[in-house]
Amino acid sequence: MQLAIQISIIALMSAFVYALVALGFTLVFGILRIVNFAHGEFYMLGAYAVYVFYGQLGWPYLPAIAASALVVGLFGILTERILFRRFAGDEMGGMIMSLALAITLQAAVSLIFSVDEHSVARPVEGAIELGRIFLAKDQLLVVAVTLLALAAFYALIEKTRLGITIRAVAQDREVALLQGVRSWRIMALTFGLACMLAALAGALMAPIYTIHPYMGELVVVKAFIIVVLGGLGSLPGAVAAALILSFTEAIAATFYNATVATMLSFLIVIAVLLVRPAGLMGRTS
Amino acid sequence: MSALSISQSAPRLGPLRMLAAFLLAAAVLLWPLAFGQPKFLLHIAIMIAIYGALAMSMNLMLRIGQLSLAHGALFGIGAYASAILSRDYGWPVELSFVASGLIAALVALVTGPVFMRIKGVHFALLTFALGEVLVLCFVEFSDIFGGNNGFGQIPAATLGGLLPPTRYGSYLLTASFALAVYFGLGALYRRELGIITESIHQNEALVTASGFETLQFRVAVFALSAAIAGWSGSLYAHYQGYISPDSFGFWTAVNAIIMNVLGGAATLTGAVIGAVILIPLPELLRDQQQYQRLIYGLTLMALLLFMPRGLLGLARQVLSSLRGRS
Amino acid sequence: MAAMLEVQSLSRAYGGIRAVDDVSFSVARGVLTGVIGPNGAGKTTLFNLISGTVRPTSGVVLLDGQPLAGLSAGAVARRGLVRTFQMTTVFANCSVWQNLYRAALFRQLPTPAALMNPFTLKARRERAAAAASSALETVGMQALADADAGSLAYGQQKVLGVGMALAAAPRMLLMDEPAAGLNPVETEALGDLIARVHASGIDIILVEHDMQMVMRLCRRIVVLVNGRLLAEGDAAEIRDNPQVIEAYLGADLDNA
Repeated sequence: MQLAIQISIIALMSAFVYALVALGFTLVFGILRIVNFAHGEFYMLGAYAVYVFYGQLGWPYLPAIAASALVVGLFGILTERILFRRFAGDEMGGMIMSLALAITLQAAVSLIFSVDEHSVARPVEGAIELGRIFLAKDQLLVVAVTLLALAAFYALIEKTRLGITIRAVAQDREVALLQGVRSWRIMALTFGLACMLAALAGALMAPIYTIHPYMGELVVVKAFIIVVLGGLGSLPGAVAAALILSFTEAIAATFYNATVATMLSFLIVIAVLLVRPAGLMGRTS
Repeated sequence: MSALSISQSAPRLGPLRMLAAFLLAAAVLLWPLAFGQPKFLLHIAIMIAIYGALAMSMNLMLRIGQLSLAHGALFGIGAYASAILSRDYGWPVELSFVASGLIAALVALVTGPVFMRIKGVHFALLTFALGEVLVLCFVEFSDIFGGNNGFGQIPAATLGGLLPPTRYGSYLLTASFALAVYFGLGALYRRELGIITESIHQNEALVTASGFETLQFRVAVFALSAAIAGWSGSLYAHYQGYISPDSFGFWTAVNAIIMNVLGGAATLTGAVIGAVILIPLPELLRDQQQYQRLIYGLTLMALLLFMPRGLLGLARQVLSSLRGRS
Repeated sequence: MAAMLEVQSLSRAYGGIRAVDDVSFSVARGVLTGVIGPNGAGKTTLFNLISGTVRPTSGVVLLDGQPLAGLSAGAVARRGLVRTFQMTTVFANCSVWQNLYRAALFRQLPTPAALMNPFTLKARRERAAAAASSALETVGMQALADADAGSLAYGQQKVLGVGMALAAAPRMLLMDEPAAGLNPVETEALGDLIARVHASGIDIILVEHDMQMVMRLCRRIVVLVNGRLLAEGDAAEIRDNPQVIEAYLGADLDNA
């Protein structure tokens, strides 16, 4: 029972973090129709940004993660404008460009910070005791912040004008254009938002494990699995799938091993792509 | 109706072009003799031949408009099949080689009828997942594949003594294979295969309405592409003597795609040019690997932004503008 | 003798919408049949169902007594049921001859098995060339054989489209609004072509809005409204059928 709860906390934490990353991934695909293989690198940039702000410059933790998310988000907007704008409508070209971007970002970070792992100090130490269960405070912090971020994102998408506009463009770009929406701006903002989410996730995870230039590769794979399962373009689908994936993996990893867990996830992805390409909750476009 | 038109269906290379092809083959196979069989250059040339063949197999997929991210794993299936059959089952290397391509083709034939119905981004993601599953199999079933520790002591290919047991011998083998793929696929592209792929690309409904089975065709192309990838993998295994799962992942397929993009995905020659440019880079900049990757990434981005038709496309543009002026 | 084409209780639903709803009719040999109906009546869907491009939700299509269930679109075409398209469909950047040859080639080398068979390859190529030649003559485009198909006038492209369908060795043609976008002169010439093709023994089903052409060519007419069969009968019957007239609000039929 104890073990189950301990595993659940970690699975929950992973789930929410993956959900943040996956949300950004699916947002970009839903609006810009780009499979951004470099999405994991924005996650990685967020981690390195917090390493700089919090680890090197000594800023307090929460402002540091906020700054990291913001900076990387702005960088994302630049990226969309310079690199991806011309691939609007060319899904293959966009994919290949994202691969080139991934390579470049990994190399650039390796050159600036070296290929070695770095660690970021824990923002809070210790654990809360509930009976015989120990809940690590830093993991709880991650869960809390991600929940806040998810809630804020939900509010943004559902309630604000920007969010409604984003959804309108996702539904039908031409119609939205006719109604006076400046779709180019929306695309840039959406991409920036997605990068911000990924960067926030990276910044939060930086103290939990170590950081290195290739940490994004593993994460984007998970994000891809979640997005396919939940439906390319579906936001609630991404969250639901993140939870399913996380718990399945935690259980499979405990009883078998991590390799088998990942294999299982991919087989499920193949099955879903074949049977219901729109994913469990996605739209057929 | 001109007499020329029927001959278009079975275009033979004119005698001049046959001579050029022969000279090319001779040059490719014999240059090391003129330069004293330089070991390091031969190593690079062998890698170019192997990955060039893989890039050409990817070119086939690009021709039917399907970006496959599973080709690294198909390359791996060929490598492991050949390695296992020759080392653990005592098969002669030649037979293992043949079998490796056929096994990879079998994977394509089994997954093809379902996979090839799907196009575009979803197909890329599907093959990405397939590739990852296959690589994870190489890692997980370590009794058969050796797992993360790799699979070693793979016998070299000597063709029963026909080949010199030197690096030049390996080069002769791999380069001959690459030449065979180049000329073979080139011939196919000039014949019906080229007509069909171009027509499907222009208007698939029209092709189907005339009675053609486009899905079966796609599966067949996938199988051929997989076979070439598998054979390339086999040559890789027998040359290296040791293989491990990280050589067969997603990035291997991506490199094959990038070689096509670099050289110009419209032609087979472009794929080879891409290989010629890309393969030596890590070898030449061995110490500065991260700089090399940075330049690689930046160049690729620049290429995609400014030269979408690749280097060959650029060369053609330059040539035709020169001709236009004179 | 069995009808050339028989449609039995054919239906196709998309979610709640029934694009084609329980349609049954048959086309006898040698009887040029037209399918008419207002826009959105389901004519194109019906064609897609018959040609095998779309799977029916229920119902059966029989060609010369043989069911077409489960066949791919290519297989249906090989059985002899070839369709033409509403939008011009030719291969640009190829000559007229090359277009015809390609269509014939796809018919002669339809599968990987056929493509890889070295023994029959030459014979099949020759058959394709012969079929293309014959189609070229039938549509009367010999003078334009080397012209670039993409640079042809719209009307000529449509004629080429018919030629390509002929090159695929059809027993029956499904023609989807062949006269769409043509001027009266072109329409007349196309009508002659269709009559000639029919006279040569190829059965034809024609979807058309141009009532003059329909009345001129079709011996029998099927009327589709909102996915359902409204009426089926001889041309004269249909023309005088009050329900049909009402469906069209009298506009088109007055021109016939």
